Amino acid sequence: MSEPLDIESDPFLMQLTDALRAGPGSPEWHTAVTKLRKDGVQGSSEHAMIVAVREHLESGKEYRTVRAGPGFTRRLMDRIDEEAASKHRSWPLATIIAIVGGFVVVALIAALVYVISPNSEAERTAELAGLRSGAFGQTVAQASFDGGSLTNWQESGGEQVKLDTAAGLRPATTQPSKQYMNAVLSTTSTVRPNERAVFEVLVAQPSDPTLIVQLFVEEKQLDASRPEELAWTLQNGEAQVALPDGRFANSGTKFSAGKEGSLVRIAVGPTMTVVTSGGRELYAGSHFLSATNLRAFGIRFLTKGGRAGDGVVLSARVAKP
Amino acid sequence: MRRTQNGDRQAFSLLYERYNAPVLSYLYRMLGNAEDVESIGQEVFLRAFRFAPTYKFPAKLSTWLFTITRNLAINHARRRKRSPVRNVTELNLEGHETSGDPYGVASRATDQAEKQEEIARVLTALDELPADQKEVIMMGIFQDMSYAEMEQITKTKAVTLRSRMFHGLKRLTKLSGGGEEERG
Repeated sequence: MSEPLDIESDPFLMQLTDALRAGPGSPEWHTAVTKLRKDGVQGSSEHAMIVAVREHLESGKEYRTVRAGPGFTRRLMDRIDEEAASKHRSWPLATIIAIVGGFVVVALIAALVYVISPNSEAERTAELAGLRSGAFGQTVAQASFDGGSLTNWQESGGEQVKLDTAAGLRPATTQPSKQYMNAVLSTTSTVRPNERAVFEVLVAQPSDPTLIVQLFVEEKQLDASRPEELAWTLQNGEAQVALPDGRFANSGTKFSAGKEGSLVRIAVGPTMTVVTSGGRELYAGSHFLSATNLRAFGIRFLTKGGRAGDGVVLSARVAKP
Repeated sequence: MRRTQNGDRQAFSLLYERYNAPVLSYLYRMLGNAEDVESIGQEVFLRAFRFAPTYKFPAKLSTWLFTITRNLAINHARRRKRSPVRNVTELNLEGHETSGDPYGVASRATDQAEKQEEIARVLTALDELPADQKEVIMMGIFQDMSYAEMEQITKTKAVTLRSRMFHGLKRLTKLSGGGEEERG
């Protein structure tokens, strides 16, 4: 068993491990190896041997490099075609009868459940009504993006673009890019899945037509196999609600806000959500988020860089009843 | 990727063309068995096509794909499920007959015999490393992934990955005859 390295408090070990990953020819390599050879550091003979091994690995990068041959590709594409075709293939009569029988049984059980608990539909209706018109007085997180410090918020995921919070929230100016880059601000506070909460955000019309703005409710304690995000998305001047399974809940709805901004409101309850923007209700129904994972709220910009433009998100607030 | 998410097979072909070599090479390095690489490699791309709608922008596509690849490789190793061994000439991977020989690779890297020997010894010693150290070397060095990308794929802290990189290379020096213990 190898002894632990105190990498976090030893700047040279940090440099060295950066160099070992990046390899010969990289700036990290040049910095670390120059320091090792000129200054000498503790354990330098051991480090020198490790550096030599890393150089050998660089020379042997071709080792066990393979790519698919025609047979591999043909077999894969055949399997994909087969899978696509099986979705459209007609089913045998016995299968159809079994499925219909199954549906009948499920329908009977559903009817029985409905009779036993006649309030389930009423509960959903009540939950939606509470989300539409309930009072949410207890602030969980709030930001006015006027240059002040942000408490209960954190930048996350946006390694490529920083956020500018001085005069409205916006991605900072960067070099233009062909690819979309992201910048994210999300709450550090969470709400429990059985609680009602509202995410109210004042969004101004972006001056950059390629900028995509997303306001999202995400599950914490993610399980990779589960969907995890309900999002309001603004792209090309149209707003849509994306459900966790990737479906859009509405067709694109024109969003015009001007510089003063327009309110986007995502209210979530234990099972339902109501999403409105510009005074129009875009979606009301099940949100399909997990019933066990905590929920956080956030703002994401997808940008191709260039000049940042004016602030896009003017304020944000998360609150509970 | 958006087109693949809508079931566009042609768009998927482009994705496959771009990523088949990194994915299959990673599997070949980790599993060292061409039969397993072929069966798991097929499964990786089949799943990528099947589950494309679950991919979330703006996550990095290679990170998503390597998470699938790694999980399948780990499941395979855990289950120890081996595909039937077939004649090597029937396999459909290109390059494995030459690139699987460390001395062949070393001879193409340099003309110096002594250096060739050292390179070949290091490459051979890779298979002796503990799986977690080998993995970080395969991802970081052979696949050129950053510690941040590896952190996402392996769900392991970057500081731990750095430590594994350091100790993995240190162990390689010993396994390949460069360490003092072996010299003594």
